[in-house]
Amino acid sequence: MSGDHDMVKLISSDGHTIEVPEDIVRKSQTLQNTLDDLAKDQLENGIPLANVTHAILTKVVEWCTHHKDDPPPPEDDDARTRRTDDITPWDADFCKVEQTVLFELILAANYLDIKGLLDLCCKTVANMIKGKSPEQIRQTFNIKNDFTPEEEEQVRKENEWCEEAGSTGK
Amino acid sequence: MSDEYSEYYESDDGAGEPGHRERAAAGRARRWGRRDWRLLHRIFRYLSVTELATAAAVCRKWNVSIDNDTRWSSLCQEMGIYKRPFKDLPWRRVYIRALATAKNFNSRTSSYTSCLLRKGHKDAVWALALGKTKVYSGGSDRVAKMWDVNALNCRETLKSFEGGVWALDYDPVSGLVAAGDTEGFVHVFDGETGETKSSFQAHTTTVSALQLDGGSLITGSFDNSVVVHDLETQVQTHVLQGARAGGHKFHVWCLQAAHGRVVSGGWDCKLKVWDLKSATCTANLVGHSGPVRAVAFDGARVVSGSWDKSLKMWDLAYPASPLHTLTGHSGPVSSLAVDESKIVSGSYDGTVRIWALAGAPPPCIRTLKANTGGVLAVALDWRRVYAAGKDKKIRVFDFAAE
Repeated sequence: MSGDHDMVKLISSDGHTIEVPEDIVRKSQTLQNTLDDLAKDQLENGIPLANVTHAILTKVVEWCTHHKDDPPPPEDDDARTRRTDDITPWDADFCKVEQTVLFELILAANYLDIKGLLDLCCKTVANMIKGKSPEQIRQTFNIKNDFTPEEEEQVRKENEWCEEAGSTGK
Repeated sequence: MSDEYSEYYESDDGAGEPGHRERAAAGRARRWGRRDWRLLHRIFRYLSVTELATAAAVCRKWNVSIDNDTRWSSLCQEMGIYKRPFKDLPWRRVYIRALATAKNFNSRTSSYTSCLLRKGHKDAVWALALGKTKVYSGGSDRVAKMWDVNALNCRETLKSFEGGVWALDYDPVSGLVAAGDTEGFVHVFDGETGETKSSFQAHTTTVSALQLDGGSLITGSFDNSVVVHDLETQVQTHVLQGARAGGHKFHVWCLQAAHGRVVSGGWDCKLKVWDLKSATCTANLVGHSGPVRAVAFDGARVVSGSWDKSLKMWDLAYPASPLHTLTGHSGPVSSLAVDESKIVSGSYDGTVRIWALAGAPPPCIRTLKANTGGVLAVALDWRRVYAAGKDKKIRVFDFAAE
């Protein structure tokens, strides 16, 4: 419908408009659908994103720009533990943000349907969970322990089995 | 997805006010911590099973989300559990129960329950096979039966056989069951419905062993041959037989195929290893002093059971002599089942023995009294040993953890 250098206006939830090259915008499956569905004159006033703030949108665009030449990510194969040690240094730096920003990026990547970014942020959070005890995880994410003592005992017993299985390579 | 998202942001009014963004962000962070873990499952996909178990201990929300991780059902499937065995138990709990059961199974002292299948065969039961949701049995009464793997009730009785059903095999990929009878006929039927898919005469005498292998069916017979059939056309693609090809001199009693090779055992006391591509016998496993009645083969290791009352383990890399000889049965060995941790053998002495693969030679960890007059077939799944015998009965030993 248009060349690579066409600019698309995106309006963040807090009312800022930014102009982004169309090929970058198309990294988002959600926006790609919008672009394909709407006529050009309908796009002139910009696409409002009621769910993404300017700060987060800027981060998202930064990521998409850096990754604009990436091949499309492979389809999901559900029943498998995925790697988290394959984050590139640039991506690792990109994710060195406050927890709140990281979580907002996850929600934005999910809403905009940018699988690569969603995977990256989820991996980063997963790495914050790995190697920690339940109590350390609670502290990291400020989560309240809402188990009753009985439930906690039950969970502890169940975990003994999984730990044993884990140690034999399952 | 977008619905969830907008709901999430609904209460974020006051855009544009000074300090709005910071306050909104702080509010969201609190909520993330408290309840808004909608995308939790996507994060959990990057945790190993052990890490998941730890994360399940964080809070209720995480616990529930982890219960629903799809990996638990695949882990259960890896253990051979396809149908949820305990009502309303999430797959994670089933998996934990299965781990506890595996430990029970491999112990010398844990308790188990045993029962007989009701409304069974009217004559000796010669063959057992395990499917994903069914157990299959065949007997001299010329029928094959399908049993529900959880309830253990008979779901279907297949009566189309000319002779006694002596060989059964289930293919987990196609969901088909093949059954061979003493008149040389083979019936292939749908493992769920029992609907006949094809039937043909494979040999002129007893089909003593068979296996579905992709698009092929491999049969062994009292006519001394091992034959590979194309399942669709029923054409014989290989006949493994005759002195020139190094075939069995007497009845073939058992066979198992894996990775392009077939190991067959027979009345001539030998096991033969066949290369399916060239249709030639590449090795003889010699050592048993009686007919070889049962075999299990995983592509490298062979376990054989013989009328000489012993089991032998072989490594195909060193076919000259057996690795181990397992003795203990006081009668001929009739049947075998093997998984990663154990061998189960049935014998004409009426017992089933469980041998732990962890030892060298594998020690017998349990002897179960199963069928008077002799055990003719055994099967093994994640929780049970099934033993069928001359007494027309199928006995089930259940090691499921409480």
